[in-house]
Amino acid sequence: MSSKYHPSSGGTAQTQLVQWINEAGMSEGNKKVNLLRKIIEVLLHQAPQMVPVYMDNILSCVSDKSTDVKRQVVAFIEELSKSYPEYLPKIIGQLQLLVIDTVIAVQKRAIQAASLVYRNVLLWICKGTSEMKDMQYVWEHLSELKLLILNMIDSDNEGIRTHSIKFLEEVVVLQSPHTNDDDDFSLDCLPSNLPFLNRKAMEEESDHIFQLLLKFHNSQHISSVNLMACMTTLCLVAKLRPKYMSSVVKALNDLHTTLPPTLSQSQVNSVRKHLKMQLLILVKHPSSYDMMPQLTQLLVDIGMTPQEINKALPRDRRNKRLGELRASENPAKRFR
Amino acid sequence: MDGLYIAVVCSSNMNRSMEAHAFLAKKGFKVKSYGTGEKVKLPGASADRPNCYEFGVPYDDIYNDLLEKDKAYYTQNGLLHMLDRNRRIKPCPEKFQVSTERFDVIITCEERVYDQVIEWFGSKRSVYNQPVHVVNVDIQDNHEEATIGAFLISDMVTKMAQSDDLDNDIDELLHEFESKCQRPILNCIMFY
Repeated sequence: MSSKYHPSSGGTAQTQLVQWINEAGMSEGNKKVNLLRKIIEVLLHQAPQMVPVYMDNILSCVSDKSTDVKRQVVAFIEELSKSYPEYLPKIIGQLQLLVIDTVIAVQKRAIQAASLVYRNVLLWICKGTSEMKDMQYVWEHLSELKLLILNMIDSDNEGIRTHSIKFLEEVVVLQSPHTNDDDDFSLDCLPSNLPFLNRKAMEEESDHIFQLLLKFHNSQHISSVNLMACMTTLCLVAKLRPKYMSSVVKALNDLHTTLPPTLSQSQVNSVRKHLKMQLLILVKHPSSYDMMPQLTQLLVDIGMTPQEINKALPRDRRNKRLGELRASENPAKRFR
Repeated sequence: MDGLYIAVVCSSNMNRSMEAHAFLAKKGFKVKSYGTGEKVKLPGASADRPNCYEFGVPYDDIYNDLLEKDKAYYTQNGLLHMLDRNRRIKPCPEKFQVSTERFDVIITCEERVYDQVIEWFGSKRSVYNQPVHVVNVDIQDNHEEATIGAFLISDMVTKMAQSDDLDNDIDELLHEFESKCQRPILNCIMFY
């Protein structure tokens, strides 16, 4: 098999693809993974007109016994959703299967891809270039997929939980209206005339998921890694969607006063450091302006001096705050 | 876990990260190394006059520069030996913040470097939602400690590689490692 393949025409590409697909059909493990990688590369980047002809050959590997082969199929679905969303009706069901795969590593890769696919589906719907029934079909499957992952936040596996948190972060951001002037996708971008999309219901769902993330963040038996993952997620949501800022600052304050009792000393140190880092990132962000007194007080509580806080603040907020901080500083509240 | 992709990061990508890079590479791990500092800093003739270089200046050029400045002094303090080792591993020191690679695990060698790595992740939004475990092990910046540190990092990475599900095992794995090595560990998870 030649790895120095340079197609000079569609015919050559097709011949090569057929050869690789046949070879992959008779291979297993790493050899099959490498062949699939090459097939996907050529198919998507050099012979995209042949995607409808050969995509089923790749998608059929969804039930392969090799973890890496299935992860490769996930990568294909992810890439297809971005570059060729017109095939979304063909791939969304396969992604659902991969999210509930029996192998944890495949599940995690599929949940990771689901975040990107979720965004790509919404972008595709916004374009409105496909038939209504196709868009509705994909949206319904995506909603089922969302529900599946939503329930995985209670998985016994910590990694699945981590990936679910990250997926839910994306859903909250995508399904809530934007308040900044950025050009990122938000609920406002969705057309209001599609019968299967209810923007109000989507926003309510986003609120509900945000509350779920808050609850998870402040639960007593969370692992340190997932606590930090959830903390990062909440802070990102607060930055992008300032309507959640006050709830997030309250959650961080609650965490500071009541850390989960199951953490070891070193995990406590990691969590406290992470809290400080996230607060410093928040305090520098324009969205946090209205919450500055609470944020700076929390920074004082976790042990930063007013001078250190002042140094970390954006230049335009510096001097004014230092006076207020000095006045409110209470050394007894500092934890070290 | 097959094919764990590791980054070892210190301040200047000269001593601690390169010692660990060499050690892990010899053991067959897929590894890269970086520095997070503004510049590559090496001890100079006096404490207040370090030798500073930009990231990307080849180890070979730095070697020749020091050779020209004071061969006897930089031979005696081990810098030329270190640079000679480094240039056999890769061409030049690399800055972490401009790297486009996506790792499974990033190991930092001091708290300030750990902070800089977290700040870098905090300054941008994740695109791929791919998780990476960031772990700090404090290692003093001298030759002996770098050697001990490389042993410890190799031990930790070996245990990570033996895990079938690192995301699920990391809390316990690091807890055990910390008890064994008697050094405080910091860790968190970030996303590319």
